[in-house]
Amino acid sequence: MGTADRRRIAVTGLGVVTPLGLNVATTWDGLINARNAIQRIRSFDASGFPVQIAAEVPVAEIPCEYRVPKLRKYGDRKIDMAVRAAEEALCQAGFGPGADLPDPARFGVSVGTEAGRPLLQNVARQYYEFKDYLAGGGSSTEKLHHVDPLDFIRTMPHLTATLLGIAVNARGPSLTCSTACTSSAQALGEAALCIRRGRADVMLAGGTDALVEAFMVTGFALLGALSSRNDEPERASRPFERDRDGFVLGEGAGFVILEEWEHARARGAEILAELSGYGCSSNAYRITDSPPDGRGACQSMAWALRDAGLNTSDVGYINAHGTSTQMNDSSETRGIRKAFGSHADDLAVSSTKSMMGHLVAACGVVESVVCIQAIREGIIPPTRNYENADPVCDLDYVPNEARRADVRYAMSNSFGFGGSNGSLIFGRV
Amino acid sequence: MARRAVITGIGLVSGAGVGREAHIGCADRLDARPTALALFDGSTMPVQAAFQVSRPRPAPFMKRRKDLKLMSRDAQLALQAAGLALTDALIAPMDPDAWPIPPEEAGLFMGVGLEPGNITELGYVAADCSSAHHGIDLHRLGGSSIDLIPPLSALKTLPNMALAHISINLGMMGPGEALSPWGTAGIAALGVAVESIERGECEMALVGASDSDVDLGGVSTHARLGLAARLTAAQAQSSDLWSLDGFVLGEGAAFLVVEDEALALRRGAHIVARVGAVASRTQSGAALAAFDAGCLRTVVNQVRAGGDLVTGVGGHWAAWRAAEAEALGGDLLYPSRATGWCAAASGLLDLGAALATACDRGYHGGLVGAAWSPGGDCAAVRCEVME
Repeated sequence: MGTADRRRIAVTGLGVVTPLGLNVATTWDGLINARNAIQRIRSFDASGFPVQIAAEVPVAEIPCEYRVPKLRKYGDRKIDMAVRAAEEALCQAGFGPGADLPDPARFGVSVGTEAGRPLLQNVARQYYEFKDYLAGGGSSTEKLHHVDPLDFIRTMPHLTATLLGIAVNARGPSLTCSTACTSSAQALGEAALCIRRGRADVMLAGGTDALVEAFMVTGFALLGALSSRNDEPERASRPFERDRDGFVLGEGAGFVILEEWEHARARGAEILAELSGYGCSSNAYRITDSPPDGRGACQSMAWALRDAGLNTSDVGYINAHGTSTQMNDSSETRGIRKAFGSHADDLAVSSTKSMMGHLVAACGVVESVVCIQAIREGIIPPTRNYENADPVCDLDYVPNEARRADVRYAMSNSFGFGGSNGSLIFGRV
Repeated sequence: MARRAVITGIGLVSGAGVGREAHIGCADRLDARPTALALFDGSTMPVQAAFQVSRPRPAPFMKRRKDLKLMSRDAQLALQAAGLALTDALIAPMDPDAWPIPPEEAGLFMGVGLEPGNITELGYVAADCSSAHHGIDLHRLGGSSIDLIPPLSALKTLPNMALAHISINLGMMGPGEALSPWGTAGIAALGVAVESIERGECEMALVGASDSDVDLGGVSTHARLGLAARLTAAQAQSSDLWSLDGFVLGEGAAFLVVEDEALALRRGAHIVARVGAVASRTQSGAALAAFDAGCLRTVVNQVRAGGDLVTGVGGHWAAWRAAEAEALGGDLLYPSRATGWCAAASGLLDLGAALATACDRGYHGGLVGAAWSPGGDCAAVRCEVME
């Protein structure tokens, strides 16, 4: 089906919770002013850890209201952030508390997130309860009273989608994508396809992740993936820059309301942008490394362009995955050059991870919101900490200062551990 | 002409056996019995038996056998089933030149499961830096305990690792997604793959799901949630397993080769079935582990036509089967009789086993695969059996 005769996807609501702020306005203000949100870890004592910095959402408790209060017992930080971001998006789209909601059968939820991680203290508690088994001796654990069903339920990746679906009485498609850092990009892409295919008219789509806890900080540090600039956290995330040494773990959530174009117009909703194209691919290379030639990234971007029916020259801005690891940034640069050819030299490419760290499963949707804001406001947020050029990263990375620009189409890239890639294109209305 | 997705290969690994042939007639196996838990000593657990795979064997489909140590059990099951599906579709998995399209253009869509508290791997670490009555000592964790953490343990908590291992070993670079709505994951992945083929993103895709929750953490939590039937090892061998108060747990993987019908015809593939409508729907929001028979009826009715065979979800759970029969009209197929409830792999495993059986018995007609997810949604897909 060509782009002319298919259902178009309107974006009618945006919401985020990020290390820069608890809503879109504050986050956007931080980004265009190149504000840093990376600090020494505050939520636990990381002073004995090899990596002691992260981009944390700046409140200990996430302020949020559950529309169905009894569901709060299932919540944790990850879900609380999702609830708050989803509410902001719902309200902007005109689906706030008390307002008429979409037809439940035509209203779906699509979430990019990971399995909930068992807290180390819970693992320790279970270990002591099970220690006789682990020692091979066996003992009576008949009662299993120490196994808390809530612990298990919170590890279900689809719990966020379920709770949000219940909250807004969405009984259409329920999707959960778990492809590491690509999760929420794919959640948006799949939500758009649900609308295009006629399975839904409105989708609440986004992602959430909260990885700044002891085991994950340690685990990613052991992989050698994290920056260890513990003494200068504000300079730790430096995508595409010569002296980059790894990414900075962050946390956050983002949601958008995707809506069939005519459905949005018929109810008088403000259309903020169009989701024009989506592409995804796999690297088939290595679990932790990106292919040096950027082949998977290139394929993802090329398919998004094809899906949108655009020429490369139509795109003015790419919000890069840009993690600040040696391999990702050079691979993504090669991928952009392959996908965009000579137009790559005219593209503005920035990585907002330089300011708010890597939100992992949530990065795709939050950075999509950044793209939409860039289109609407005519401002491209910068790549902070860009001091020295790297010869293998040779694009215009919008160094250190935001830039005014007339962007008609913007692309958001997300590339995940394991080699999953996703690209989304948003267009001006 | 509109593209149409067809199934040309089936790869199944479960407690019922390995391969398509081993799953023929699963729904009729009155004598199928789970075996005593093998991954740990479960002799005093309330759940002591499950349908288990004796040993996953993905090696024939691996570029480097040493990578086995990077793969969790569900990833090993997935790669083995993926290789078997390709072989069944007359495609040599490890010979890229023999693929009908270059493997780098083929899609890969997977339903993936949970990582329910990796007690055995992380427990030693947690215990090393804590005590029974005091919390975690973070300085100790960052100091000496850190050496106990397997370097890739953080990655093992990412649900898309099985997809990554298949992509890497088989060289698949096309569109790829890992979906994780638990019990409906495989059917959801099939739906996404069909749409991807129909949109022209890929001509061929591997679609699958795998799960293995028969370890200490998985068994204990399923038992505690009330999803797994209380079952001693002795009862497993003697009881009437068709009247239990929960699922009999299983593990396994199911993969299908799905391709554009024009490609299948061009290369002379045996077409097992055409894939028709796929439907999914969120449950009404009752208790998270409750079964909403009305939700299942809605999605099944969205896809089925008169006379279709339908696979059921309830398996060994008698009350559940009764509710399903009332909602869907009875005469449901239960391949899980011989495989158990395999969580994320369940829906696709049931469908694959039912397709294998239908083809073996010369059935031509509609077959609906149904799936349910605790706390999530119901899903259904209709296939028109051709082979």
